[in-house]
This record gives sequence, C-alpha cells and structure tokens, in this order.
Amino acid sequence: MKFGKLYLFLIFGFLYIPIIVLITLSFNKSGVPTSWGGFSLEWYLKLFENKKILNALINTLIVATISTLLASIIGTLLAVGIELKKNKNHFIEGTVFVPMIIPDIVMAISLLSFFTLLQFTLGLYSIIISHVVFNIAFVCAIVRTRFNHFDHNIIEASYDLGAKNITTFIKITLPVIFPGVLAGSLLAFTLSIDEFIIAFFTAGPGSDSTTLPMLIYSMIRFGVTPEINALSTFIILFSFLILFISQRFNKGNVIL
Amino acid sequence: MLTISNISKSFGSVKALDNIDLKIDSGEFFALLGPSGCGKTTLLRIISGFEKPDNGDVLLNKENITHIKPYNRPTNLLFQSYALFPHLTVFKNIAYGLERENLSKEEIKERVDSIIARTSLDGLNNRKPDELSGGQKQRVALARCLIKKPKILLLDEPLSALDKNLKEQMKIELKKIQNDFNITFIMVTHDQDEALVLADKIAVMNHGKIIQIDKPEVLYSNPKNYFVANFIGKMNFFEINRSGNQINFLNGKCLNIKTINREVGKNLIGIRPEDIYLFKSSEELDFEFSAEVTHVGYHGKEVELIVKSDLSSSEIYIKANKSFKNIKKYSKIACFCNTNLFKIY
Repeated sequence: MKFGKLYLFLIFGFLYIPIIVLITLSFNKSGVPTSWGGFSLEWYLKLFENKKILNALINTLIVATISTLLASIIGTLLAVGIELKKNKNHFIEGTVFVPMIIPDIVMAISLLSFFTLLQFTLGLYSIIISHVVFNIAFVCAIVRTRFNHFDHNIIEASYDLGAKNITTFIKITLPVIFPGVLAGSLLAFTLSIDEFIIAFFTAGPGSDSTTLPMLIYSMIRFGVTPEINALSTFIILFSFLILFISQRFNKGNVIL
Repeated sequence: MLTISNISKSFGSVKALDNIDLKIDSGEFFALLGPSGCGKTTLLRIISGFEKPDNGDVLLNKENITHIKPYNRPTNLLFQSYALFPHLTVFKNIAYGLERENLSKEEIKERVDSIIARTSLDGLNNRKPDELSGGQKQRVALARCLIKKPKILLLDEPLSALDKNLKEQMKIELKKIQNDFNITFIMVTHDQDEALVLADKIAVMNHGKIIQIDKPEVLYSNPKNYFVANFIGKMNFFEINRSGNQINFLNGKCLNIKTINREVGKNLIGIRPEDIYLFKSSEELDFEFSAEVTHVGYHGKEVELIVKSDLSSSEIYIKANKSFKNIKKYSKIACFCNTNLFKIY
C-alpha cells in the first residue's frame, strides 16, 4: 500500500514537476532559469505588449475556431452515417482512423504536395483546411463512442411516431449524441491550438499565417524567454479549463 | 382489417418469411407466436414499415400500405426495449407524436394529460426515463403509442423485460387497455403462456412459415402437428407403429382407431399431462397403462409426476390432484386416459 502511494507520487511528479517549474519561472523577476530574482508579473505585462505574439495568438484562434466548427459538423455527420448504416462498411470504418494514426510529418508533407499540385495559395486557409482533415477523424471517433451509450431503437421510435429524417436528427439523434459532439469539438480545438508540424508546412510566407506554436518555435531558437513561460502558463490554464468542461459533458467516456 | 398476402422476405441467403398469408380483424388481440428466429419480428417490422417485403402486400382496410413509410402509417410500435427518448421528460416523450402533427399546445396538453390519467402515470410528468421503474417505462411507451390513436398497435415482446409479478399485472392491464381503446393489437412473443392468456387469436410460426392460426383454446386442444403440440403447453408423446387402423405401442399393446387420415408408418401419439388420470373415474377412460414414479414435484394446488412406462421411451408427465403429493418415488401406479383425446402425429 505504501509502495503504491510512493509510486503514484513519482508518476505525478514526473508528469507535473516540469509544468510547475515552468509556471514558477514565469513569475521569476530575474528572467534566467538558474536564479530566483523575486516574484514579478513583469513578463505577463510584456507578453501583452508583444504585437507579434498577439498576432500569432489571433491567427491560432482563427484556425482553431474555424477548423473545429467545420470538423465538428463533418465529423459528426460522418459518425452518424457510419453508426446508423445497416450494413457496416468495414473499409470506411477503417479508413476514418487513418488521419489519427498517420505520423503528422507524413500528413504535413502530403498536404503540402497536394496544395502545391492544386496551385493553392498557402496561407491561413491552407492551415485551416489541413486542421479540418485530422480533426474530422478525432471528432468522428469520439462521437462514435456515444452510439454505444443509447438504445438505437429510439431513432426508429421517432420515425414510428411521425417524425421524418431531419426532425428525428434534430430532435432525437443530435441531443442524445451532443455530449460526444461537444467533447469531440473541444478536443479538436485543443489539438488545433498546439499543432505545429502541419501548420508549419502548410503556412504561407510571412507573419500573416504564423500561428502561436510556430512563433514560439522561432523564438525559442534564441533561448527560452520568461515571456514564453508566461504564455505557456496561459495555455496550460486554458487546456485544463477545456479538459474539465469536456469531462463534465462526457461523463463515463474516456477521451482519447 | 389487416390483410397480409403472399409476403416473403430474405436476408442474404436466410429466408425469414416464406409466403405469409394472414388476416387480422379490427379490434382483435392477435399474437404471433414462435421460437426465436421464426420470422415473427420481421413480420412485425414489415407491418410497421421498417422492413420492405421482397414480395407480397400489406393491406389495411383494402388500402395497400406496403410502401408507406413508418412515419405516415396508422400503426405504432411498442418496442421491446421501450425506446423512450432519454433526454426528454415523460410528458415530452408522450407529446412527441402529437407535436409532429402540428396540433396546438393546448390540445397537446389536454390529450397528454388525459392519456397520462388513463395509463396511471399521474405525477411523473417531469421525470426522465432513467428515473422510472420498468413497469412505468412500459406504460410511458404504451401511452406514447396510444396517443397517436393508431389503427393497429404492434407490440414486440411487450412483457419480456418485466419481472414475474409485474408481468402478471401488465397482462391484465394490456388486455384492459386493448378493450378500453378498442385498437387492434398485434403482439409478437415467444412465450406461449402470454399468447394464450392475452390473444383472441394466435398464429404459430416456425422457419418463416405460419403453421397454425386459431383461437387459443383450439390451438391448445387441437394442435395441428407435432411442432405446435410440442410448442404450446406440455404434451407427452408415445412412439407407435401403425398399420391400417391398428396402432402398436412399444410394449406390444394394440389399439384400434376410427379415423385413418395419415400415412401408415411410424407415428406419435400425443396426450396432455392433465388428460392422464391416476384412477378410473369414468367409463370414458378406456386406456390403461402401468408406470413407475421417478419424480414428484409439488406445485401448491397440483402435483406434477414424472413417470416411466414401457409404453414410451421418454418420460411421461402427469398433472395430478394435490392429494397425490405423498406418493413415493419408485412406486408403481396405474394410469388411465381417454383414447378420444389421443392426437396422432
């Protein structure tokens, strides 16, 4: 029992100590990780004055919001189609997962080649489209798990009581799977916010389509600045918030 | 009147329904009875519109409804799992069907309130389905169908999810509701007891075919063949050899019978457990055999004996008066029956 508790502490320590260090350093006045110069909010103020960072943040939020919206709609409809089809199509069921499993770098290269082939001008649009691609797979996977949690006969019951397809979808199917849709879109949003490789490959030239992870990467080449620590602390808080919300709505379901 | 003519349906290479013909009168409580996989549920789904038959027609009062979608059919289906909408309250569940008919809020409320009273669901308006007991769920499902005033109510194994006491209670309630609302009920069940108690008429099905359609009492007293005899109630079978109107039992006993309408050869004689007597109470009991008791089962008001006789290779069941409860195992007894009650298969 005692050993078990110790083991648990070690695991949590391993997982969270780096994050705690990062948060602590974001309040470090001295600005170097090796010495503590006293508590300060200086880096947070600097962060909000940094136009580059704010611009990248806005880009990231645009990408995440639009790609999440699109992926949630497409992914949900895909999940409904797969789950309610009478004769299961194993080919479709298998291929839906591919964007989740395939290495990001491969996705990134193939999307870049695809855009080049179509002579598509790279920019924020191409990042959005690329994020929709992998987010569809995640949304679809999570919404599909909701279908194991209710009696599918309710859909036939709705038809039987006089509702046609669209009414049944809006009044019955969607409300019942909605916790899954919400959990799926929250996951898609967080995935999109910190996605680097695909965004890096499919972004256009210049700062117009620079997202936050791309900016952090370019800043970090000159060392981790306390500003980045402050920014990361914000992102961590935001992620926790989303995690709590999605768990509230998707009780009993394991989020991927 | 519902007429089902010439309906066939296959799933892949499996023939679920094979040329079904059926007529069900208005206001009748009709049961489709058969073992699992006999096609009874498929037939129910064809009547409700959820399956399309490969060929054949479904006619309701002479109107062909074969291709009418479920949401436009004057039929409603009570699902085995009840299929209540989990996110809606009892009131909303029941009102769902009326809301689809674009009725005024006041009319919907009035009709829902009235059906809630008639199905004893008062006070549960704002509960969600997972806050209801099994019996309440069933009544909500029933109310949700009845409020649509269907011409036919289809019931898929309506009692299978209830425990024994509730089952008995719901049987009475279903029968009462069917009488009150005067709607045709078509029930699918594998439980012969349910069918016998509830139905005005029963169709026994097996392997996608209807074997026999009759009133419960006729079905029980006069099963058409071995399958029906074996499926409905308990029946003892004696193996016999027939030549002409002479029957030879396994132990060499002979009997002459009057009717010869079946082919000569190996046959079976069937007799119900309650038609075997342990004393000769009347002259009609013209057949006697000896047996040895192998099991005595006490069931309160009656005693079930299992006996072994050289008349038959299998055990014979006898329903006896409770005064026989002290009969000893391995004791020898004499059994009597009326040859007029012998069924030959």
